[in-house]
Formats: sequence, structure tokens, C-alpha cells
Amino acid sequence: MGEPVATPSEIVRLDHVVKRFGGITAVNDVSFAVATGEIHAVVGENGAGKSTIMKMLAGVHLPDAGTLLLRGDPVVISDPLDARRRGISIVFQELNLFPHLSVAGNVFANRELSGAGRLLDERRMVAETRHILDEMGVELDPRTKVGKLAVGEKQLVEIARALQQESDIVIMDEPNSALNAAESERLFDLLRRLRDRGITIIYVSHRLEEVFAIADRITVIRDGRYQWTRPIAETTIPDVIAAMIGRRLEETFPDRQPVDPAARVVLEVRGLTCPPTVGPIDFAVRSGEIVGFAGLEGSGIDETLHVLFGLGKPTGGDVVYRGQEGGRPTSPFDAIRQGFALIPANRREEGLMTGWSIRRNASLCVLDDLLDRVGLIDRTLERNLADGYVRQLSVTTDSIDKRVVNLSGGNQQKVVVAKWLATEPTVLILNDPTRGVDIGAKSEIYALCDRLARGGMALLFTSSEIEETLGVCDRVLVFYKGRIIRSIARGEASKADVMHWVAGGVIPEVVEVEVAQELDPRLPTA
Amino acid sequence: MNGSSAGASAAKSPISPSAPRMLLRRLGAIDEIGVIGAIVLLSVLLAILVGDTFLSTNNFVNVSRQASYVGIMAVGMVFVIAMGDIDLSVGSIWMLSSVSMAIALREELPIWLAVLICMVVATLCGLLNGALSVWLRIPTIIVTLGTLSLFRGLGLVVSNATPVSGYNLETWFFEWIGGRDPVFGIWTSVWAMVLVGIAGWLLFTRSAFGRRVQAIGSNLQAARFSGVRIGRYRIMVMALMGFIVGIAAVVALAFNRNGSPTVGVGTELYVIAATIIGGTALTGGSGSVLGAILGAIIIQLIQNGLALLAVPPAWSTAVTGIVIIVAVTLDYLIKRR
Repeated sequence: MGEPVATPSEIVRLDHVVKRFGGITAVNDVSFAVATGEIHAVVGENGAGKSTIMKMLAGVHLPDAGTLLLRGDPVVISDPLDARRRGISIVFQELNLFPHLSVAGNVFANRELSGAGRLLDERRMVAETRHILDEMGVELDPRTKVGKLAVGEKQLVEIARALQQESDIVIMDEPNSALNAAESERLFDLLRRLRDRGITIIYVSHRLEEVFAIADRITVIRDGRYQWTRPIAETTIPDVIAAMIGRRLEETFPDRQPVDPAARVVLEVRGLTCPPTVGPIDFAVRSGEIVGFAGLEGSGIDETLHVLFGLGKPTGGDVVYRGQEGGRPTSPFDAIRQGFALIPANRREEGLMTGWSIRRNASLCVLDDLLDRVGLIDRTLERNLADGYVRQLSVTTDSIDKRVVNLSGGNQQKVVVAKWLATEPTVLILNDPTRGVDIGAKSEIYALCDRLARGGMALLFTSSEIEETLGVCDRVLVFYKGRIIRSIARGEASKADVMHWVAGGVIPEVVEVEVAQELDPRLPTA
Repeated sequence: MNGSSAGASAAKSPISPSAPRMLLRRLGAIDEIGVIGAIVLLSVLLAILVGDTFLSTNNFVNVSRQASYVGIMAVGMVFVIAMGDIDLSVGSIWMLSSVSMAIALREELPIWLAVLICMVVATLCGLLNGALSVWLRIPTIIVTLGTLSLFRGLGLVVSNATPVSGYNLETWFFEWIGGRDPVFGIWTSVWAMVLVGIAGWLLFTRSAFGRRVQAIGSNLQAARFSGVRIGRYRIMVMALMGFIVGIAAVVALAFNRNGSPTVGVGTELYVIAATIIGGTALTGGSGSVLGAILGAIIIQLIQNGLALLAVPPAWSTAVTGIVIIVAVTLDYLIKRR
């Protein structure tokens, strides 16, 4: 681990900073410095700890150990208001704006200007907002309601708010995950101009292409630890990827037998397009095959999966299901009846009734099959169903009447799986099934995918962790900006390749070899 | 649900609890124990304070009968609230369907047809509530706030704002269903409450319908992902609410004899209060049919007690409100513990 590059004027320095949440150390002994007036990118994988670091700078979290230095002085940033007073503004991923207020109302939120008689001085606030927006080179009416703005424009309002407070440090947390190319370009332009005015920008992202387009220096965080900081000119994307990935606890992926090329094509998607800019998407899945989707948020994966489960309407294209054209489910009810099952990404919000028992969750999708002669739910059938899946999936619990809120993340996810296996699906869609699940349960889920595919089920699999998608699937489709840009067979590409592709980059052959070597577990750590 | 978790914790306890403590645990595991306790407490209190007048058969019959209308409607309200919705228009549905039936009788339609008209009007009112809410994407609290006035207004129009009467009372309907016979007639509405209660309890706890209703109230998004047809269910539940109000309207008209345009004013609040006192969470997801009926009995006991204690009617309303707040707060505190 190298020492941070010495700079003439540091505005922010982290000195051996530690942050723990429960038993998990999210930020582990991190030290680095940000220079005045630079655009400093902080990169790392999901869960690497970059957002936690930013939240400490923004006063949301207090460090458990170590010191934050601001302009050379050690400081305790006690809350977000304190951070703002010290000149730090943060533009969060999920924007913190008031949709019912105007642009000016948002820029001055909680610091409203008042005139005579303690009434709001609307005119002055609008004028000052207009002045700030003009300086930013943004054409936006300060009186527009923020709820009516596009995402990119909302981001500009956040920045205007930071400027109104005369912040000299602006933190952008994953700013452009929802922006289109033109909006991104405009944002970059603005950030460069702000930098030239002496404002320091800390830019958090995992889109390396964009980081290399905008940043002056880059800091890599991996598994809560600082890796290195380098000027952008002295590093390359493959270097950064290698530093981001490193080596981690090995998960065990099952061996896959090659899929029988004569197996029936269960599902075929032809020219599917959906709003805003997804498609045309084409792919086919055979019985017994696990097809993976790799891509960043907004790449079109969620939209595609939702259409297949009847949750969204496409604008064009066709779904051929079991040889039938026009087989697109029109609602989740229809999807389930046809044999689709979706294990959703967000277990607590979309997957489970957390206050319900395991039994009631497991039976929810198949209640109609559990009725007795009178038409009431047969309690024995229901118990047998839940008991069977608890045993089959080895859910750790003392009773099927235990409420799922009292189960661990891994066991909760198994209940979701049970609920969907009970529908005996033909096509099982798994959207990030191992999120918030411990390693043991992860391996069990991988093994289960393999077992289900062997039994003839067709699986669609996507995960926020690329190595997982690569380890589980027979074939991985790479999504980028609403299109499938590549289809790779099992073992054909490394994680570094795929990380590059999902970010829209193309890796030259030579570099590919280097990265592969760095990933070789036999070599010592850099 | 609660029963098993309490049982599990009792089994884990290292010291074997004594018999009375076991009994207490068992009782504590019954969801409706708070409401039952409150009824016992109120009854004992009134028996001591008022004595014979409270304990007389006559008074008992009165309390039960008056509680039964709210009790019947509260069974429907359990479904509505457990689904995460609310129906403020039940008092007006009662009035409109009741007046419609009285007019049908005055026009000398057969009794069965008049009853049918009452039920259809009430069910359609509920259906309209549900359909407006689902199709126009307006919360039911807003829709039914509107139909609260709409239905009552329609009732006033068709009845000319005067009680509808002048039909033959010497029929089986008024003689038997609404009779003053101390053995059968006088209990009709209580029997109706018991039957609606049993049917509602089965539907709520043991049917796929009830399970899905609770799924919607428990987690709307997850219910959608689980293939529950939410719009359809919301309309069905609001229509069911109307249908159940129709039942209350029929038995009430049989006893009251004329179609009064003032019937059911403010009843929605008692129905909602009974449901919540009975342990149905306003946040949705769970509920108790038995509790709702017991809640209706509590409200009636309080009003009866205050009347017997010669508290002026104006005060009686205020005190009822206080008791509702206390009951719900106590229930909340006990469950939070």
C-alpha cells in the first residue's frame, strides 16, 4: 500500500480512518488526501466502502477511529449541517430534492431569504438562483417545479444548491448512473469549469471510462481498504480494474455440464424494445440452460426481466414462449400461470411479507392448489409444502411458523426461493439472488441453480457481482446502454474483461493478457 | 401466528412455569384477550355501579341488538382495513340501501325483491367505491369521503328527506325477522352478526381470498410480484364491504320498520373504531374478525353504561371518543412491549 502522493495544498485528508457497522468493518484504516481545486475520483466495487467514506466527510457517519483533516486542521464533522458550514456539499445518488418546490425553493431550502415582516423574499431568491445558474451556464427557469425536471437537471439543481452555500468541496456520489450521454457531457463540462474556479470535486463512481475522462487523480478502494492514489495520466483502466478486484474469499461455483444443443428452446426474445432506450434485445434460452445478464444499473437488464415477468410493457418486439409467438405475460399473475418465476432483487420490498411466517410466505403463490373440498386452504397441505421446501433448501429455523423477519438474510432468501419453486416454473429469473446473503448460503444458491438446470428448468441469472454471473452461467450476455453487446460462453472471459465491457470499453488483446496474469491467484499481491 | 411464537418462547424458558403462569401465557397469546378483558371489566364495573338495571334481560337484549349493526359492518371493515384501505361511506350506504328497500316495499314489490334491491344497492355502492379508487387511482379515503356525501345525498333525494313508511307491517318479514318476540325475533340481528362473523372469520383466516387481502395490506409491492391481482381484489373487497352493509341494513329495517333518512349518520366512525379496537392495524396486513365484533360490543357497552348512569347524551358521545383513544393506545402499548 503506497503513501498518498504529496501535494502542495491539501484540502481534505483522511488519516487512518476506520468505520464499522456491527461486526462489519466497512472502512478499514484508510488514509489519503485530496488537493485543492482538483477533480479527485474515488473508485471501487459495490460495497468497497467508497460511499461510507463520503458519508463521513458529509457528516452522516462519524469515524470510529482515525482523523479527518480539513485544510490541515483535524475536525469532527458532527452532522450534515456542520459539513455544509465547513464548505462540504454532497450530491447523493438518490437526489435529496423537494419535488413540490421550485428550483429556487430547493436551492434555498432551509436557508430561505426573508424580507420585511419575516415573509419570504421570493423575488430575491429567484434572482440569486438565476445568477448561480447563469454562472453555471445552465438554462433553467428558477421558478420551475423540481418534480417536472429530468434527472440530469435535478442534479444541476443540487450543484446549484452547493454553490449557493459557497461550498468549496463538492462530493458527487455516483452522479451519472441515471444520465444520458448528453447530460453526462454537460455535467462534465460544468465540473471542469467549477474546478477551474478553484472548487474541489470528489467524484465517486465505478464507471471507469467516465472517471478517466474527467478526473485529475484517482484513488482506489477495495474491501474497505485504501489501495493507491495516482494521477490519471500515470495509470490505465486495466491497472485500476486490477486494483479494484484484488483477491477475495473464494466462493465455490458448481461445475456445469455443457448444455445439450438439441434441448428445446423454451424462451426466445426477438427485437424487444422498452422505454426509455432499451433494445432491440434478442436472445434465446434452452431448457436446462443458465443464461447470465451482465451490465451496470440502467443498462436495460431490469427492464428486460420486468417485461418477461409481466411487470412492464415493451414498446416493440416479441416473446416466443414454448414455441408460441406473442407469449409475453401481461401481468405477474399471467406470468406465474404460464410458468415464469422471478426472484426479485429487493427481498424485503418485493420478495417477502416480512411480518408473515415461513409457511404463509411459501404458499402465497400457490394458494389455489392447496384448497380443500370446501374451498378453504388445507392446513395440512400448506404445512407439508412449507416443510418440504424448508428441508430441501435447508432453511435454518426451529419452526415453519417463525416470522421471516427473524431469519438471517440467507434464510430469508431461501424462503423467497421456496415460494417460487413451489410454482414449479419453467423459466426461473434470478435478479441478484445473493444480495445481502452470507457466503455459505451463496454457495448453496449456486448449487441450487445448477441442480434446477439439470432438472430441465431454464434460468436467467443476473447479479451485481460479475464473478458470480460468470461462475454460475453457461452463457453471459453483456448489456450496455440498452443493448446486448456481447455473448460469452462459460470460461471464455475474465471478470476484468466483463467489467470493461459493461462500462462500454474495449480491451486491447495485450492488456487482456496482463490483467489475466495479475488475476492469477498464484502470483503475489501487488 | 402469535400463539406459536409465544409457545416457542415458553418452551425455551429454563424454569418450568407454574400452572397459573402457564394459563396467563396462554391467555396472553390470544389476540383478542385485551378486548375480552375490557368487556369483562366494563361489565363488572357497570354491574356494581348500576346493578339490576344493567343486568336485566331487557338491557342485555338492547345492548346486543344495538351492537349487532355496527358489529356486522365491522366484519367487512376488517377486510378493508387489513388491505390497507378504509371505507368512510358505510353509514351512507346503510341509509341509501335502507331507504331503497323501504321505497320498494311502499311500491308493493314482493318482500324478497325488496331485500334483493337493498343488497344490490349496497353492493353496487361498494363496487363503485372500489372501482373509482382503482381506475382513477385515488385512495379509498378520498373516494369514500366523496361517496359519503354522494350516497346520503341520493338517499335524501329518493326519500324526499322524510322517513319512508306506509307499507304493510303485518308480513313475515316484520313479524319474524324484525319481531318483538322475546325468543327469536328480537335476536335476529344478533344471529345475523354471529353468522356474518363466522363466515367472515373463515373467509379472512382460512381462504385464499383472505390471505391475498392480507398480502396486499402487508406489502403491496411484494403482493404484486407474487401475482396477486391487486386492482381486482381491492374492488372485490370494497364490494364485499357494501354487501355486508346491505345485510345490516335489511335486519335493521326489519326492526326499525321505516326507512329513515337519518339512519347511519356517523356510523362509519363507530365501525372503524370497533375494527381498530378489535386489533386490526390501520397500517394493514392483519386483522381480527372476532376482535372487531367484540369492539362493537365494547362501544355499545360504554354508551349503554353512560345512559344508565344518567350521563347527558352530549357527554356520552365525548366519553365514547375518549374511551376509543384509550383502548387503541392500550392495545398499541401492549403489542409494542
